[in-house]
Amino acid sequence: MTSTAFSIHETRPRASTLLIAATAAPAMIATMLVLVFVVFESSGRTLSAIAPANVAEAAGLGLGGETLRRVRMGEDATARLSVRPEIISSSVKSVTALEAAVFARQVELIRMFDRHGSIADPHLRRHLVCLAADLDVRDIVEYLGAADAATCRPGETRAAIVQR
Amino acid sequence: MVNSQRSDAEPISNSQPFSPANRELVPASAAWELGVDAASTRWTLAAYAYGLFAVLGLAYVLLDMPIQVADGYTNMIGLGQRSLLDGVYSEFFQRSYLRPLLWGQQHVVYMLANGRYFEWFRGWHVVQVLLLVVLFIRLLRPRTIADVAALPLGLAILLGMHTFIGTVVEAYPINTYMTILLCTAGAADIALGSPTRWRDLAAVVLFAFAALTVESGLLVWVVFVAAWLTGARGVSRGAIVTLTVLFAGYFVLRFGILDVGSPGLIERSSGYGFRSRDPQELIAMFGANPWRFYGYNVVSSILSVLWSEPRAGVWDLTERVVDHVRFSRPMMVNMVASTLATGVLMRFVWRRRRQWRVRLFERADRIVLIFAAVLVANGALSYGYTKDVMMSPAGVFYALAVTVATGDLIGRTPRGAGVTVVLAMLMAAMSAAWAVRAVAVHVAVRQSGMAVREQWAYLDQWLETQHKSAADPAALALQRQLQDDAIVRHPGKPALTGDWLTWLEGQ
Repeated sequence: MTSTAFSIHETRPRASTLLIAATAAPAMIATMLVLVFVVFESSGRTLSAIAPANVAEAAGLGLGGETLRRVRMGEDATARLSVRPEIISSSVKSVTALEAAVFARQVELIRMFDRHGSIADPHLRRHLVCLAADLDVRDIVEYLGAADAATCRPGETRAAIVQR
Repeated sequence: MVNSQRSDAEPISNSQPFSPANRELVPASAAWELGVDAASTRWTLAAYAYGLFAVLGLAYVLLDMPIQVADGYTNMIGLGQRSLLDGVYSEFFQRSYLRPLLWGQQHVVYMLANGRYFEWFRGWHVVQVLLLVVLFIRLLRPRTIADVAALPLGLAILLGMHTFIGTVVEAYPINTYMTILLCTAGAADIALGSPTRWRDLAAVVLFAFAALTVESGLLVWVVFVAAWLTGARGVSRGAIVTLTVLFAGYFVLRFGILDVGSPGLIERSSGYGFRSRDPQELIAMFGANPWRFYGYNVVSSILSVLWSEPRAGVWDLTERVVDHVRFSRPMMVNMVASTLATGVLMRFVWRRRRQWRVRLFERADRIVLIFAAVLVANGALSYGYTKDVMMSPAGVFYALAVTVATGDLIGRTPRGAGVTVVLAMLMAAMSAAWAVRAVAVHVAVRQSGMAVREQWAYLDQWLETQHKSAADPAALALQRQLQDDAIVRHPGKPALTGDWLTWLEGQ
């Protein structure tokens, strides 16, 4: 170690601890928060998130990928399942994934279910058309058959689902 | 105390000479370049350790994102149908774009993947981010507590810049923009190092690779020339001449021999004024005289890096001011972050003006001046249309320049208590604003992953709207595999909720 005329430690004033902390701390805290989030999620608990518990909740949240995954894993799109109040509304507690897709106003989901043969039953199809008409989801009404909607009793299908 | 031991520090001969006579002109950091001691080695290691943590967070969300459908799966369909040489050769004869090595890179990773596409392509994206962060830290050479204190801010700027988002939210399968970030940062690392023969060869190879990957790869030449003009001698004069000949040769090849041309106004939408304009509108406005539009794009692109406004050519924040409409939270964050960071940079430029006038450049000066050169050249390359990610190379050098300017600000000036407190508050505000922007990029990548999964879930419907279908059995098999990767094998993470997202979404 030799000392020179340009020795930084002799000529350079000490950096202010306050300035150093003020510059580094916010960005470092953000990085740490991201890593804490990663650790929590990796251990199975996602912070500040809503995860669907079944295919109806996935459809109710409008998550096409998760809905398709659950259908492929064997979950039944026509089975009535419990959904939490924050998924659709506090008054809707038990729905099928198909109904949840209508509540979520997701015509793409309805099309996907149709391609998978989940809406082959004409009665089920009419039931969904009536629900879509009650909720005024026009693209789903048009996709499933606007003619059927004319035969629906306004509000009846939605009320029946709410009363479950 | 200065140690005679050196690691990767450049020799003194590589810097402009300084003497006791001009000592007052020399920043304290000049002495700092003379050597490293044990303490500085510890700070350097701490910097790399922190960089690794920063990469881990981003890697986590990058590995959650599947290969996308448009420009991802659709680009991969042809990769298995031609050999590497055939494919690269045929890419020389495309219209408007000359990007043969982009196809080559995708082909190489595709063949290496041997069916494990998600792992290889997504893994390669993570490796690219890691390499970029390593290059970023290498260029900064943090050796004191002030340098290391500026690094978290620098990495937050690097990862939080709006120009950077496009390099991580798009899984093409290989993100070309990210490749060019590595090439330009790599060029700076070569140019600012100590002169050796291999650097000359590496410079030429790197330029050829970057220029034939995507048009913005030409910025590699700008980095080498700017570094050389500021006294960096990592590459020799002969190499600079060779690079310049190759640079000119690129244009001869593109426009004279191959007649590839360049994209015209009809190619895509672009921002102008307070909103985005579609190609027909642009032709109606500028068809006869596009130079005004080109000039607008160049200036907009440069301002976008410095002030985050305009974005993609659209003056959204300004419009809100004019119309007395409230800013969104992300807009406020962006404005605070960019104004303070550019202010710190301007202060550095002002403080060093006397040294620059007598051509006395240190490493920090070179980094700032390379940024200036890349900013102007990157803006010029964006003449055709404006898009945030097109300015991503300038964004990386902006992060470098602001980091060295911050290190200079916090590391050397003696002040009174009052000034120090005010400065500390400003630095904390800047660091916090950039931290929010960096976290926002993580959220954007996560949400992009969810959006890509939706694309795969509704693939049949998308193919119908595009009037496409995978008739070829190999393409169909690839489609099924990528869809299974996105939906079943690597399912998405839960959607984030909460008011806190309003600070982050739409950055």
